[in-house]
Amino acid sequence: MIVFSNFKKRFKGNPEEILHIPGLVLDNKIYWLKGRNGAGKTSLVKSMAGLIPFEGEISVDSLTLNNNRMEYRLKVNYAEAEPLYPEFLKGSDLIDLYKYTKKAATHQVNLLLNRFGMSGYVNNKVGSYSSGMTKKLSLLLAFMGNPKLILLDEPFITLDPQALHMVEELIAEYNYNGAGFIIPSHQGFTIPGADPHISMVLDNKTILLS
Amino acid sequence: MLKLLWKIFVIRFYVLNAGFFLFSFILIFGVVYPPQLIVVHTSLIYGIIQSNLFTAVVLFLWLLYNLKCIFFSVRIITREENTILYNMQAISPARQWILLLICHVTLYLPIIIYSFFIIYLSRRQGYLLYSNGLIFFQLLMCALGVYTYYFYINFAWKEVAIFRIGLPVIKQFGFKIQLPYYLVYYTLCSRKIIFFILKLTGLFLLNSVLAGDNDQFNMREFILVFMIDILIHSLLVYYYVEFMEKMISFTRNLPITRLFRFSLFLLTYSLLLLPDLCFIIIKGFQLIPIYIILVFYGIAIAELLLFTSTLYISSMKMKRYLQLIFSIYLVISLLTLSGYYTCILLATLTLTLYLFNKQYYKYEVFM
Repeated sequence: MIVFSNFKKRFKGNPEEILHIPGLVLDNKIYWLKGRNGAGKTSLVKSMAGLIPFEGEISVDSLTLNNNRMEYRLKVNYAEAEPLYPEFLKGSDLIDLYKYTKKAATHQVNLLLNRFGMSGYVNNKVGSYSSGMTKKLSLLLAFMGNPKLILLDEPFITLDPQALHMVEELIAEYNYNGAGFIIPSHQGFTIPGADPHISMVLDNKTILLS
Repeated sequence: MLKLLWKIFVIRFYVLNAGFFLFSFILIFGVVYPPQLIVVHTSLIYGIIQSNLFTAVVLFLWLLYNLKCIFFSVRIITREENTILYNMQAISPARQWILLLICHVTLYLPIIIYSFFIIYLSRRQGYLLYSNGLIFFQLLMCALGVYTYYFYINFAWKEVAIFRIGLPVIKQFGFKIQLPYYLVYYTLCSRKIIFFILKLTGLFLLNSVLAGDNDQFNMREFILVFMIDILIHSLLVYYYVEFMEKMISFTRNLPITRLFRFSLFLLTYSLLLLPDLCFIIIKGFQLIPIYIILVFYGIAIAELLLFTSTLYISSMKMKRYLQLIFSIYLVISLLTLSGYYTCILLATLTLTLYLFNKQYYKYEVFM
């Protein structure tokens, strides 16, 4: 369960503009976060991922960033819309880092590598990856460990149709096993075998559920 | 076309390296008492002219700066968003050479200006061959830059391996790069030129106060020069925080303690300052007690950590950062002159930990 209590995010470029969620309770479902460009979708998920500061509180299964910083980060995974990694690192270096910190099992890593079709180039430097390959790596990292909430910012851009279908399947499987998803996306998507997703519209810095 | 090239190469180069130039300017002109500026630099230039070793060091530094300009421009040319530059292939080679020469000379200008004074003074002293050699060297530097850009723009389909200075040994053995060493690898892969320039400058400065014997050694002079050596490293500190918060900002989502994040910087600075420590021990063990050298090493690390923590203060911009680090430099230098080295080390570390702990999670990169 995800609970927002008096969440406020001020934007550095424009401090007068505030994204405010006074109170909101979300189940571990798949939420499609919609909103025009600049509505604050990425700022919201980055706040939830603990990447940027905010006022108020967000709790995931009663864990908050203020009180349970480590446990919260163990349970909340995040994939960026346009991931960027240091060119000198290999995909496997990043996977090892996530495996260690997110406490992921080796068989889970191997399974994800196979499903994303990354085994062939995971030992190459990230600098040699195409944008689609980097996107796959970022998504793979977001599925590692035992997350309760996965935040996928624009997960379907730059993916080929096969990978796109596989990610939708993976979302359904993880959701079936109890993980919630918040997916800011301009593209529509279908999740096979999952509950109909709920639209969260971020409009005029307010969230509307439908 | 020149206007476009000017915007793409020159303006970006000077904006991105504003900190570097400010540091260099202060290092070359700021540390000298203003009325003595001309006298000091004239003596420095005569020193360069009369010593082959000194000339070699200066030429090497100029070469490094030239390589910095060339690497920067090659990165610009090969960036996806700058593929428009390949349209230059439609211009005649002669015109391309002129345009690229203007760009490269503008990037290389600070060195050209300083070398102009060296050439002028060496001619006045009658060192004609020496001054002609310097002119030839500068022409060679400019030609090297222009030829490289011309090559990259006109032969984009060719595999070029000339300027790929990587880490062949590490590649060969296939080491895994772990989080504690990210900053070290970042230095060796993306900031190697700056790193070598800083190290050479630092060691050169230290050598100037450690070269004499016991009678000539002055502890106060050593402390001030040592503090300048630390101060110039603050440029790398800026790049490190930028790297941590822009390139690997995703690590903020990982369950890693603040202390561990802090220790990444601690480890990096310990390694970064190791050459300086070794140099001081080798050159100065008869002049300064070893435990004092180790405490100085600790102060240097603590000061760099303090620079890091100040970068995490909300809305920190380059200008404010520079003001703060110069204030820190002045305060720590004055306190160190008092002789309470261990107290200064502990006080700096405490302040650093307090600031980092307080500011780290409040920090947000300005988009």
